Amino acid sequence: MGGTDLRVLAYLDANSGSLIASAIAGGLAGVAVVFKMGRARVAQFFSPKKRREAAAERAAESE
Amino acid sequence: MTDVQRESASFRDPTGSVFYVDGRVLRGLDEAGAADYDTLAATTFFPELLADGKVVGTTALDASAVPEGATSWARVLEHDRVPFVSYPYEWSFSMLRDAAALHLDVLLAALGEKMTMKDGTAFNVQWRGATPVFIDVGSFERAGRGPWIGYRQFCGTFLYPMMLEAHLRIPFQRYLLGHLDGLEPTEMRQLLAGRRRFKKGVFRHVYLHSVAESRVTGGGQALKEEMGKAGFDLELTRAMVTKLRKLVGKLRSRRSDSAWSAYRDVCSYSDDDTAAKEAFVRSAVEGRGFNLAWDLGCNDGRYARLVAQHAGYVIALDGDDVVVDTLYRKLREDGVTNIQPMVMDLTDPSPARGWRGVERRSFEERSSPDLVLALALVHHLAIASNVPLDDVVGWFRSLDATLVVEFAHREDPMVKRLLANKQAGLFDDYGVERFDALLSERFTVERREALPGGTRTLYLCTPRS
Repeated sequence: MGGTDLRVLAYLDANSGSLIASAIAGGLAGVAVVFKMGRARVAQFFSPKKRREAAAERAAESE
Repeated sequence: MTDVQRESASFRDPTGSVFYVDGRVLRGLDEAGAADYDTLAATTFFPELLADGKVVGTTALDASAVPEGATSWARVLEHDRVPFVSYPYEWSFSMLRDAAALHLDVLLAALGEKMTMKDGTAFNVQWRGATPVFIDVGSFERAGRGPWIGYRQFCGTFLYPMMLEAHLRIPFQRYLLGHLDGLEPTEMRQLLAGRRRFKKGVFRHVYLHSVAESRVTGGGQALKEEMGKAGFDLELTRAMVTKLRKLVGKLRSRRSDSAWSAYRDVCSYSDDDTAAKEAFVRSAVEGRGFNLAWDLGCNDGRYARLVAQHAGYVIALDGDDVVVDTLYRKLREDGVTNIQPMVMDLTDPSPARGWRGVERRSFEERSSPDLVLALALVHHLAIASNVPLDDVVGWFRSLDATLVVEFAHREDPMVKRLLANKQAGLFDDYGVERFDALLSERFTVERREALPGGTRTLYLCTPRS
């Protein structure tokens, strides 16, 4: 593990919504990154059905 | 045995901790923290920020100089002490804005050399007089991929409180006091709904932020990595922080009217009174070498400035945030370095807050003055706020300092105005004879002087043992 990867262990919770929000707040290039992250994330953003599915998936994982 | 006292607010970041040894401020860093510090110390921006006073003075101690009781850390830093610790809910709008600007400027400088910050809280900033200084040296770390993780905290503790004032004309201090971790995007979205959504920065940092929070869940640190892999690099973080910095510079407080701002126009002093009062205060402080003075109810800071010429440091307090803001701007303009303005309602001063009630200390716990100035204050406490006169004097005594106090008689126009709002008979015991007697019970009155207008008396007194 390199030094950079260690930084993942930040002490603040990484709030997913805020991370996406800060990307969008950066302008078009940031929005482009969100889209590049794949259809799943974008679909989760726009589709209530995808959000429910993602939540169910996480609930199953945490059991 | 060396007495090592841990700073009660320094526990969230496990890579380091701030503690005190014999009045010195030290920061211990573990291996990861030390590695980050070594990288930081080798940059060009960090020494520049230190030289400019933008970051608190910091020196890495040689192993041989580390005090006993602090030797378990991989690295120990020593910081310069700030004169008085204050919290963001005690600052005025311009103070919060300047502190926010400093935080982002420091972050931008760091990003320029592939470093970032672990957080973005307003508690990272303290004051030297009217100059903000970034104190959380432990916050710097080598930058990885993905967005700045402190963005949400920055919004909650800096940007949203500023928006309360700029877009809603609501003083932010009480909101921030109730939300040490900052205001929430969803709360702000409710407050800034409808057309307000199109005010400066709201759509981007409040509305979209809140929408993203409600729609994107799960992932956490993995998502940050995922974003990094998708191309969210340092340049994008810089672009975002630069935009945020521009927004901070544009937010303004338009609230200009305030009862206290108009005080000078309506106050009851004749010019003779003002001159006599200045002469009294000057003679009370001259040559006495006071270290720390509190000016309670400082208003435009006229007397705080006078005291500051003869005392080490002055905390200038007023309950009216607009008045404090005006004072702050004037102090900055004039380059006064030893007066620290603060927003404080003396009938409801900052309480102890946070984890176990010790993380953020109450106002009185944070310092003990050797001079207290209470000019044109007693009648506001005793009549407007209904604090019994005996309690007011008892509180002064509890501060255990030399006291310069002004008492406005019943015949004073300001007192008459305050009494006119109260039921007749409620304040029949309010009078200069009673005040004089109460003061004499607890203090030795060194000097008393009636102002030429005949409706106010000044006292210089020292506490009785």
